[in-house]
Amino acid sequence: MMSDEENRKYLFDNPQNVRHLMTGLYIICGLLFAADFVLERHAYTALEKIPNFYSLYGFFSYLILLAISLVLRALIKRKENYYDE
Amino acid sequence: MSDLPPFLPFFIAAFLALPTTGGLRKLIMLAAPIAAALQIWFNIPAGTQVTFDFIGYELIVLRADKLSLIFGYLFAMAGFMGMLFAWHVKDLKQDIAALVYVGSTIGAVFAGDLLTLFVFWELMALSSVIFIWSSDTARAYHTGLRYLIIQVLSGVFLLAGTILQLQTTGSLVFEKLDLTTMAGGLIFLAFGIKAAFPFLHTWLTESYPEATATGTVFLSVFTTKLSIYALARGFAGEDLLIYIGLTMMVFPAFYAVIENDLRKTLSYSLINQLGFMVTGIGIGTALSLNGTVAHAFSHVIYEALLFMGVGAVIYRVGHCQASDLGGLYKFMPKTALMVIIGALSISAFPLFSGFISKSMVLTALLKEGYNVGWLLALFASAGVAFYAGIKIPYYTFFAKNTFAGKNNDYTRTSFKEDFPKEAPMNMLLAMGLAAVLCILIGIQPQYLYAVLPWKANYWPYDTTHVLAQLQLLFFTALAFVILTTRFRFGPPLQPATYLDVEWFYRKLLPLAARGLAVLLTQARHMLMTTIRHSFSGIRNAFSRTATAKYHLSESWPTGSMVLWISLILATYLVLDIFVYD
Repeated sequence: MMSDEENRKYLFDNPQNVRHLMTGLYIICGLLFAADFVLERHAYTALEKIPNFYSLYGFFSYLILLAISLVLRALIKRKENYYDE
Repeated sequence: MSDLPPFLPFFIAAFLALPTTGGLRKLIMLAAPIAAALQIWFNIPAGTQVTFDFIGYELIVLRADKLSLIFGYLFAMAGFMGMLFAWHVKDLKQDIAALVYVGSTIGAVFAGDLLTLFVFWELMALSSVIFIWSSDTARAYHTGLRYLIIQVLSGVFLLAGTILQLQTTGSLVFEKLDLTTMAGGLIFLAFGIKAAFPFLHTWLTESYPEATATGTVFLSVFTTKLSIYALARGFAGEDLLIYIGLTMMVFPAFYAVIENDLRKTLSYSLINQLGFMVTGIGIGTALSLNGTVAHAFSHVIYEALLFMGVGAVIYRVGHCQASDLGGLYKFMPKTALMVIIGALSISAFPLFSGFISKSMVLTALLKEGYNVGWLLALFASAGVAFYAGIKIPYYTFFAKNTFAGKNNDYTRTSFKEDFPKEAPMNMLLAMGLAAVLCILIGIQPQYLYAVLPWKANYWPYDTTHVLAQLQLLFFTALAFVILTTRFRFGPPLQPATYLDVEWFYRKLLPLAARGLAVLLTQARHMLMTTIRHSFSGIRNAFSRTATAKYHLSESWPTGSMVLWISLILATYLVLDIFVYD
C-alpha cells in the first residue's frame, strides 16, 4: 500500500509531459501570431494597427514588470521580522 | 410585513445560532443568505422603499433599485459560499461574526440614507475584525487593532460628512454627492479608505494575510465591494476616480510579483481588481458603470475562489509561503483544478468570467479616448495574468514538481504520513460552486448583462476582443516560460518584509514618538539643571557680597524659622488682645 503511493507516477513526474506542455504553448503562440495577419481586428487607436500589437505588448509588459519589480525589491526588501523588532 | 429588509434573516440567524452547536448552527447559517435572497427575489422589486421616523428624521432602511439589487444578490451568494467553505470551523465567534458581517453589508447596500449606511458601515468594521483576531497570534492581534482603528476612522469621516450634509442640504438621502463640498469630500474619503485607495490601502494588505484561512474569504468579498457600490452611487463620473483607479491597477502589480506570501499576493491583486472598478466609476458612461458592476460581480466570485484555494492549502499544509510550496497537484488535484479555473477567470481568459466584465472597462477607456489609461490597464491585465493567473497556481501546485512536506525536507523520498490530504468536502463544494459560476458567467454572459443597472449594448465575444486577449495572455505566459523558468530572470520568492505605506505608521510614527519622548526628557533635564545652576549661582554671588555677612541674610534651619515666626505671631496675638481693644 505504502510503496504504491511512493512509486505512483504523477503527470509531471515524466519530463516528456512537461515538454509536451511547452510545445503546446509554443504552437499556440505561433498560431496566434499568424492569426494576427489573417484575421481582421477592429482598431480604435493607431497603436493597435501595429502587427501583433497585443502579442508584443503582453511579452514586453512581463519583461518591464519583472525589471521594475527587481529594482523595487532591492529598495524595499527587509528582514522577515522587520516590524517585530 | 412582506417588505422586511433583507438583512434581518442574518441578525435573526445570529440570535438563533448563539445557543446551538455543530451542524444545526451551520444549517442556520446557510439558511440566512438563502432566506435573504428569496426575500429579495419575491418581495423586493426595484422601486421598493421602506422608511421610518427616527427622532424627527426620515430614515430609509430599504431602498431597492437595480444597482442595490444586483449587489444584494451578489453579497447573499458570496455569504453562502463563505459559510459553506467554513462549515468545518467550530468557532462560535467566527460564526456570529460571519452572520453579522454579511448581514450588515446587505443592510448597507439597501440603506437609502447616510445615517443608516453609517450604522451598517461601523457594524461591518466591528464584526469583520473578529476574523483577524481569531488567528490567535500576537501579530494578528496587533494587526487587527490597526485594522479596526482605520475602519472605524473611515466611519468617523462618514459620520462627519453625513452631519455636514444634513446641515447644508437638510437631507440625509444617499444619492449623487458633490465632491467639491466639505461634506462630499469627507464621505469620499470614508469610501476611499474602505475601497483601498492608494496610500490608504495597507489596512487591506496587512490584515487579509493575518486572518484565519476561512475568514479571509469573507474579508475579500464584502468591505471593498460595498465601497465600490457606494462610490458608484455617490461619485459616478468623477474624473479624479479615473486616475485613482489607474494607480490602483498598476502599483500593486510590482508588490504582487515579489511577495512570497500568497495571501498577500492575492491582497495586492485584489487592489488591482478594484482599480478596474474605480476607473469604470470615474469614466461614468453607461458602459463603464455597467463594466464596474459586472466586474464586481465576477471578481467577487473568482477572488473568493482563489482565496478559498489558498485557504484550503493553509488548512492542509499550514502556511501559504510560495517558496515552501510546490508539487501539491499530486495531493490536492481537485483544489488545483479549482484554483486554475479561478486563475483563468482573474486573467480574463475568454470563456471565463473576468473576460466578459473587464473588457467592458477597457473598451470604455478606449471609447472615451483615454489612450494612456488604456495602455496602463492593458499592462495591468498582463500583470494579473502573471502574478495571479500563473504565479498562484504554479508555485502552489506545480513548481519543483515536488512537495517538501511539512518539515521542509526536500531530500526525503518517502513521507506519506506528511503528505497533505485533499481539501475537505465542504471546501471543495464551496470552491466547486464558485468555479461553476466562473464558467457559467463566462460562457453565458447575457444573463448577467440583463440585470446590469444601466442601458448599454455590449457583447464581448468578437474576433477583435478574443484574439487580442488571447495574444496578450499567451505571450505573457510565453515570456514567463522563457524568461523565468528557462533563464531564471525575475525576483526570487523569499520570505521577507516588503515596505509599503504601513511603514509610516508602524516604523516612522513609533520612531518619531520615541524620539519625541527622548527629546522631551532631555529638555526637561536641561531645564532643571539650568534653573538649579542659576539659583546656586545667584546664591554664590550673594554670599560674596557685603550684606551676606549679616546674621539675617544667612540661611537658617527650618526649625529656627518656625520658632521666629511663632514668636512674631505670638507678639501679634498679645498686641491684638491688649492694645487694639
